Amino acid sequence: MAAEAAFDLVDEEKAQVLALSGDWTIDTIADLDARLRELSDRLRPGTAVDVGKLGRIDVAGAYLIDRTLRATAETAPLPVRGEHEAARRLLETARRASETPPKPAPPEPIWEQLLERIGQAVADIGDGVLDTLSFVGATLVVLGRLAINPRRIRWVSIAHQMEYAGLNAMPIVALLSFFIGVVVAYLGARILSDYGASVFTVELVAISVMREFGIVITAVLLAGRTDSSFTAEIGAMKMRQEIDAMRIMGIDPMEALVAPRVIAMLVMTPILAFAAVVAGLFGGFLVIWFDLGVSPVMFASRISENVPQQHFWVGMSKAPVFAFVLAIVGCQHGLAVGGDVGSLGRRVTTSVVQSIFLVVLIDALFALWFLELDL
Amino acid sequence: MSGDVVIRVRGLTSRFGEQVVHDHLDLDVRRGEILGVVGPSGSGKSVMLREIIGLDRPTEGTVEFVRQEEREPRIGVMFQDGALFSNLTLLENVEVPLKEHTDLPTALRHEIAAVKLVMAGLHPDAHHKRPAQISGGMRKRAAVARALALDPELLFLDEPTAGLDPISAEAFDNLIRNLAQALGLTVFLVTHDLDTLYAICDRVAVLYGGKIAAIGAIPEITARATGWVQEYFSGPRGRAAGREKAAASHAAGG
Repeated sequence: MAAEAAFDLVDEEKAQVLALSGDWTIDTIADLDARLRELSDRLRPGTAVDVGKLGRIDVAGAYLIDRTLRATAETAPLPVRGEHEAARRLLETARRASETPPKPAPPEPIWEQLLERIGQAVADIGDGVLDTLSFVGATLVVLGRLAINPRRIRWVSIAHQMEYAGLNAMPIVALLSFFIGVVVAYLGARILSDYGASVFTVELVAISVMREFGIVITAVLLAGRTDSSFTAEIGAMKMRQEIDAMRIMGIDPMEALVAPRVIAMLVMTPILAFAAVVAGLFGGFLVIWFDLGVSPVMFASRISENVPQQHFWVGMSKAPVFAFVLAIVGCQHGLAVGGDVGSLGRRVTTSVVQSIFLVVLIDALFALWFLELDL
Repeated sequence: MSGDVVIRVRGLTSRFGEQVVHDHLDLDVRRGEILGVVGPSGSGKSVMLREIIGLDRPTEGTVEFVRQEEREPRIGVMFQDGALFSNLTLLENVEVPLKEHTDLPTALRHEIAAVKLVMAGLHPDAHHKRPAQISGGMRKRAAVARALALDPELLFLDEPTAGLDPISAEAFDNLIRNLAQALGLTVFLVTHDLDTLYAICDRVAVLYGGKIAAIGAIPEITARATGWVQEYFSGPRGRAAGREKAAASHAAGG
């Protein structure tokens, strides 16, 4: 075990001597700090340090000794007594390294920090809206350019994104929608039977799944699954300077990274939404069949007679809008990642939260709009 | 220079599938020396470094840290790109090992971390910056300061001067040599920089063909060099670095 660090202040005729003993290393000095700070004020100028009985010493120990005695010998080197293989050298090193006193960051009052953060957050919201709008504009320009010059479209990349972002999401989207259909049908059957209207459960399931649940479930899932991976993927490329490398090679990241993702999402989201509608209807149908005894044939004919097609088209019409919003938000936050790891995490979080928020908000606006149009 | 050994590598063998990187390699690192390891790209220099510091396990063989006094020697490692924690300031980076392994009072911990950064040549103005806000050379200095946080006896450097301009690289070499002298460090460094080898290394080990092909002071190695070793040291870059060193020592002596 290391010997405990100790010191003893000896008053001699001419000067004080600080006699050190034990090991003065980073492991042993923790308890000495307060005592030495207090001692430092009482030392007379010209106090010497005796290293004759000193055990091991390192930079931390040397710094502590030097700090204690610095006031007594501001400019001159410390008067060192006794022999030690490393002490003199390390005391010199410590003195040189601490000549420029380290200044701590000035702490601001807590309420000032709070006000500053609130202000910053408000300003960030404004900036965020502007950034998103300009990013939408830039994406539309790129898409337009690709439409004029389709040879520049990166089909391989689009196909890859369609598989990764779209097809791979199919099972989970269908499963979730299936359960939503089950729940809606079950609730409907129970509550409507109080009014003797349980047969309307078919309409309830069909309209809610086609109009809202199919597409919203799909969009929320894609926000959690695909939008986050867009941000993380592009963000990691940004951090590793891959985006810079692309720019230097004359490859526009908007064209190579953003456009394929937007196009893939535009193609796949309606397909996924359709799958969600089918799965939701199937879930609802199972409950209705077993719980209410409505036969498959009757279920189908009730839907085709009593549920206007417009409900289906209202739901599907939202798919491209959501697809565009999700792809844009994901890519935009990916490209905005900075140099440090923290910003990647923050951007992914913001990206997911923002895209879910936008999906619900846009859905509400659509609902108002379609109802005003009597659709 | 005392001849006692601090790291004893015996029969080190590293295999990745079919590929044999090290083939029963032996190496001794002596106390207080600066040992440079060179070798062609892909010869397993970094693998050896990782195996010695215990990040990877060799397929076969042993790495022994010779205990001096009663405890295992402490090691400090500087990774190639610094590997500083990017969400912490430089000062906080140096404080991480201090916080983890000591119970120093907070004020003293700040002071010691600041001393380490100044020792590595970073002015206090830079202490509260984050790694992304400073230059590559400063990041390397901060990484050295963090490696030295706990006052290790052994310092490992992976490509310390890679990516630095020649002047910064020379300054960094001087920093390493001065720190090694002042703190009595044993330094193990992997490098491609011939200037570093000539300027600061006491001994050089050449890793070639899975073995240590040559080890010793540079004059000893170049005197009996063959094959890759000869090519390495007597190529235009090697000759230039050697001439510079000779001129420098001549000027110093005269």
